[in-house]
Amino acid sequence: MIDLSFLEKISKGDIPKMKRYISMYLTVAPEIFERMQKNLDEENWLDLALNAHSIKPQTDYMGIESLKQVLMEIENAVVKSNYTSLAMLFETAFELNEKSQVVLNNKLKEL
Amino acid sequence: MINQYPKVFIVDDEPLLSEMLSDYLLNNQPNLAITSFLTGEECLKKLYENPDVIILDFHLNSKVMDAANGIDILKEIKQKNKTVPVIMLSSQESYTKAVQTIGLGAIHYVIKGKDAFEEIQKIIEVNV
Repeated sequence: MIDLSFLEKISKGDIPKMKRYISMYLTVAPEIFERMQKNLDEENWLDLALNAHSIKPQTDYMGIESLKQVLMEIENAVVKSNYTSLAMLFETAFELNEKSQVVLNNKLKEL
Repeated sequence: MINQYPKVFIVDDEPLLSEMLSDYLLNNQPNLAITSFLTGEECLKKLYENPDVIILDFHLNSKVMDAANGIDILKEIKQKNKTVPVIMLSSQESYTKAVQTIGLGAIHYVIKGKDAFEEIQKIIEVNV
């Protein structure tokens, strides 16, 4: 589910640096998902897409490809005004985020 | 005269990206003097320091909702300093947006992703 090879490459094996990047992601991701949940509740589709857009590259750096794909689907759904699919897509993204948080937290302990 | 310590400004509202990019650039070119900003407004206040290159995110208002977006900041930068190279950074693979930013004076439009760091580093090497 998570491929940390990019982080390993970028940090050139510097463990404290890797831990810092993962910790930063673990802090920011729940905040953004909280904002997305609020956007969904308020049917604020534009901000929902903006928040999905803002976390997308970070999921890429953490190697969470499945989550990145769903975030792209959220963005595309908003662009196409396909609002009915957003609740389900958000739920999928939320679950993937929860799972990846567990994996990344475990990785932090291993490092 | 070659600048021994080229000044690089990174403007991005996501600290993770700024920090990773900054570390990557310094690993490859340790003489860079890098400053990161969370908003374009903060960067504009420091333009008097004459950066050698500015890396500017397209979307700058995911956290500070009333922050100006990258396009508006690019326009202001170019009004104040026509010669500074600006590299636009975006998650959107949009030809239209790329053309728009180049039209406003950016030297490159780089898509955020795993290849972006290397691409930016090469652009800096060539332009600074």
